[in-house]
This record gives sequence, structure tokens and C-alpha cells, in this order.
Amino acid sequence: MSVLSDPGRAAEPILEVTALTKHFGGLRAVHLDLSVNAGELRCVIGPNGAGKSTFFKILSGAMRPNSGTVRFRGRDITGWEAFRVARLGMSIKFQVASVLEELTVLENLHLAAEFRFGNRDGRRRAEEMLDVVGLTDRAAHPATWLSHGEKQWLEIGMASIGEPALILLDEPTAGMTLPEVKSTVRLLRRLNETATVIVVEHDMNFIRMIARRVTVMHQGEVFAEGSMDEIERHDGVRDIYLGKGAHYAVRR
Amino acid sequence: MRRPSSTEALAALLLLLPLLAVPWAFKPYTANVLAVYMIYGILALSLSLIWGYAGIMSFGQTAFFGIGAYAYGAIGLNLIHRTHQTHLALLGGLLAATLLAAFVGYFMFYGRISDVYASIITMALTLVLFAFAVSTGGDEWVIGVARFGGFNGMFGQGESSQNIANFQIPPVTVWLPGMAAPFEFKINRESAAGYFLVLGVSVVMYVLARALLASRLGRVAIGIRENEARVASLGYDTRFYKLALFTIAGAIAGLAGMLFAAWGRFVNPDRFGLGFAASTVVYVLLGGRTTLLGGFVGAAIMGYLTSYLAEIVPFGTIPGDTAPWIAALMEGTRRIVREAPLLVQGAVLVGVVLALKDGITPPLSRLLKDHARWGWWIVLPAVILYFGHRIACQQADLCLY
Repeated sequence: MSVLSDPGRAAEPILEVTALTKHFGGLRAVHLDLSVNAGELRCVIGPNGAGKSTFFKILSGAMRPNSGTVRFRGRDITGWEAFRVARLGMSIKFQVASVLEELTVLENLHLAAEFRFGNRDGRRRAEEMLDVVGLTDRAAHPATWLSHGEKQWLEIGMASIGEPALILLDEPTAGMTLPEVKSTVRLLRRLNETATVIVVEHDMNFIRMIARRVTVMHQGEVFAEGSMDEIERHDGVRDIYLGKGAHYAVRR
Repeated sequence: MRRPSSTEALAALLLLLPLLAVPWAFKPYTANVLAVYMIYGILALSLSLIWGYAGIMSFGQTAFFGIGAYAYGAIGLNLIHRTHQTHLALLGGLLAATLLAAFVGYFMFYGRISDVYASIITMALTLVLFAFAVSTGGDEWVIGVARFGGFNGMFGQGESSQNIANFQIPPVTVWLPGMAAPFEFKINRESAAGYFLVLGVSVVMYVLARALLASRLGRVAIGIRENEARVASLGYDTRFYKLALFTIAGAIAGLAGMLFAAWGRFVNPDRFGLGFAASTVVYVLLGGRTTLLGGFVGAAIMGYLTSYLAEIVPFGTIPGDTAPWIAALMEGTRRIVREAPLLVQGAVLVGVVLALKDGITPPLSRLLKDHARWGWWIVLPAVILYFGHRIACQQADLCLY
């Protein structure tokens, strides 16, 4: 396992995960140690069932771990309620697009903004965010009318509108076409200017496009960590993931 | 946030003009009946607020309705002859319902009880209160002069427990500084003040509920119905928002209960009962749970069917030359409608729920919206003409009915 420093960034960790475990019955879904520095754009990859989504759920407070600690911005947030974690500045886009279908696009963003900025300022920021995620024309439509890709962008908008310190994105490009993936990459780079971002992805093209530091998870553990090139050269990683992943990418 | 559209203005006119005209256009009986439909409508509104919007199905809104009614009755009976007003009784009833809702809601939502369990707990609550109210028949169940009366309901007693059944729960009575005499909100030949009180409270509650839903609380509530975990991950403590909405709904139900006790000047354990609890759910289902008007529509329709269906006599006379099997069919229909109105009500409910999953109100409002021009130029003038005619004949005492 190699370690690469990310030049030009403050090297203090914003997120430190220590000996975190989660069991489902006899199955150990997650068992990992991980540290993410402030300002990073970190990709987490791994085959299905590697524990990526479970890891995210524990981080965001949607699920409680069996043991271990999560430190975020210097505070131990293990087992906190989801809303408290969110208030400390962590936001999440879940794997399954979970926009609030019966509210309009603008209301979704407004709701995401107003707990932090209040009603009026929140609304102004929501209107600005419409432009950033390219949904200005859809503002008054119920979210249920959006296409799959548009829902993903709305989710990303909702996850980033509260100016969080850390944004967790679980498969932001699932089901997107290539042009959509490309604009998502641009969006992500833009978010990364002000926030630390952790992305869980399957799509290797997407990972190559944002190509920063990559963590490979396998069977709930950190299997390898390093730059994209290092990961692609790593024999073990190719065995467990990239062969299948490359094939998957070609077939698309 | 949003200005009312012209369709909303039309709907408001179509509803409010006739309702305002009723005391002059019909006999006091009609105003009395409409008042109780509106009281049930307010109760149903409180249910659609939490069920339709936050997705919390409370089967026991009647618990808060009944508590409001009993508390208003107990305080009102004791104070009316001393203070000649019911200000404290109104305050006490509202407080009792609000506190009960806050108490139950706190344990429910902070104990992470949700979905069907919330329905079961609220239903159990109203049934426990029913059982309690029924068992208060004895002489020991007296607060001052207010006897709980068990099955017989609440009434005031005189000097001793032997001297009973001599006065009723007071109507809403106001005596503010500067007023020469107390003012009673009653519905009779002389006054329709009680009717206008209920109508006014209905309108205020409707407007209040709409304002509430247009605020952050409303957006969070809809979010909770859609996806509670998502709303929590945006930084909202969903337990708090659910508790707030549940408490407000409990207070509104309690307000309806007080109006009920003051309207009928009576309350008995049936207000806690399963039948009434189920009726409330039926009003909301029938009218449409995702509209605030739905509860009123449902209550009016079910109330009408309950009271008047038995009076409708289809095929009152069957001509002698009718084929026997058709005659039998007509006779059967007549008997079902006359003698088993509940069967017809049930059929109406099942039909509506099967055909329109969102109840009656949404398609009605769509109809009004699509044909707003007809509404403005045909329906509204027709309504005005009809009520003008009614008022004229009623005032001249020339009406046939």
C-alpha cells in the first residue's frame, strides 16, 4: 500500500476513521481505517458488496457501527444522529437518488439550504444553485418529473448547497450518459474548490477523469490506496475489480 | 409565498357565499347541522395535516377532540355561573388537548415509533380514554358541579349528587371588559352567532394550516412523508418537526372538540369511541387526505348521507303493470336505501376510494380549474340567484320548505 501526498493542500485530516466495524449477523460488512485530508477529492472504489455504501451510511449517521470511531473536524461523531452530523458540516448523496419527489426542484434546494441560511437567504441560494446544476428551466417542476441524470444533479446540488466541509457522493454518475458524466466531473471539480469530497464510484472512466487519490475497498477493508496509475498497476486490484470494471466500462 | 390564483378566489366564493347566506336562507335547523359538519371538518383537517402531509396516520385524533370537549365542559360548567363567560374554559380545553398531544407525541417520536405503530398507539389512546370516560358513572366522578356521568355524558349537578340533571355545558360565552352583558354564541331563531363562530373558526384554521404548510414546517413535513432519512441528512431533526406538527394537529382537534361541546351543550364517551375515530378517518379518505379542504368535504358528504339517506325513497310507488322481477329489484333497492343506509355509505366509500385514490376534492378542484370560465359565468351567478331567492322567500315566510 503506497502513500502519496497531495501537493499544495493542507495536510491535516478532516476525517479519521479508526478500526470501524459493522456486522450484519455473522457477516462483517466493514472493517477499516481511513484518513482523508481537508481539501481532498477522494475516490473510493471496490466491487459490489465491498462495504462502500455501508461505510457512507455509518459516516453520515444513518447507521450505527458495532465498534470503532469516526472523527470529523476534530470531533468524535461516532453514533451521532444524522441531523447532528449534517449540522457539523457533512452532507451526503445516497446511492439511490432520494430527492423529495413531490416537492418542486426549487423547493428541494430551498429545503436543503434553509436549515443553514434561513428562509429568505436560503431561497436566494437555491435559485443560484439551480444555475450551477443546470436545472433553471425545471425549477417549478416536481422532482418526480426529472430524468435520472437530472435527479442526480439535483441531489448533488442539495448535498452541496449548505456549504458543507465534507461532501459524500455515493455513485453520482450511476445511469448517466457520457456527456452527462463529463458535466458531472466539471461540477465535482467546482465543488472541490470549497469542500472536501469523497466519491464512491463504479465507473472507471469517471474515476480516470477526476483522477486524484483512490482508495480501493474489498470485503469491507481498505485493500489499496494511491494514485490512479498506481492502482491500475496494482495486480491484486486488477484481479478483484478492474478486470470486471474495465469489461463493464467497454460494454457500456 | 404564493398569491391566491383566480381559481382559488372562485372556489372561496362558491363555498363561502352560500355558507354565509345559510342563516337567512334556511331555517335554524340547517345552520345547526352545517355547524356540526364544519366541526367534524376541523377535526378532519387536523388529521389531514399530519396524515396527508407528514404521513403520520393518527387513528386517535378523537382523543384530543374528546379531551378538549370534556375539559371545556368541566371548566365551563363550574365557572359559567360565577364569571358568566367561558374564556377560561376555552383556554383550559385548548391547553388540555395540546399538552396531551405533546406528551404522547414526545414519547412516540423520540421513542422512534412510526408508521403503523403510531396508528396503533393513537388508537389505543382514544380507546383507553373511552374506557375511562365510560367508567365515570359514579357519584365520585365529579369536579365541582360537573358530573362526568359515564355513558350518559357530562352535565352539571345542583347542590348534591341527588339533585342532578339540571344544567348543561354552556355555549361559548364572551364577556369582555366594556361589554354591557355576556354574549352567547348560540344557533336558534334569534341568533346565528354560534354558526358564524364555527364558520369563522373553520376558515381561520384552514388559512392557518395553509400558512403552516407553506412554511419550513410544511416543506419538512412533506419531506418526512417522502423520505425521512433524506430530510434528516439535510440537517433537520425530524423528531422535533413531527412532534411540532402532531401537537399543532392535537390542538386543532381539541379546538373542534370544544366547539362540539359548546354546540351540542353536551359530550359523552362516544366522542372517544372507535366509531367516531373511524368516521374521522373516513371523512379524510373520502374528501382527500392531501388537501386541507378534503376533511370538510368528506364530513359534509358523510354527514348528509348519515342524516338524510334514509329519507330518500327511490321507487316509492311501484306501478302495478311492472314485470315481477323488476318490481322485486325496485323493492329491494328501496329497502336497502331506507333500512340500511350504512350499507350505502360503505358502498360510496369503497367506490370513491377505488375510483379516486386521492378522494373527491382533487378532481373537483381540477374540474373547477379547467372550466373556470363556466364557474365564473354560470355556476357563481346560479348560486347567487338561488340563494337570493331562498333569502327572499325565507324572509317573507313564503318558502315551501
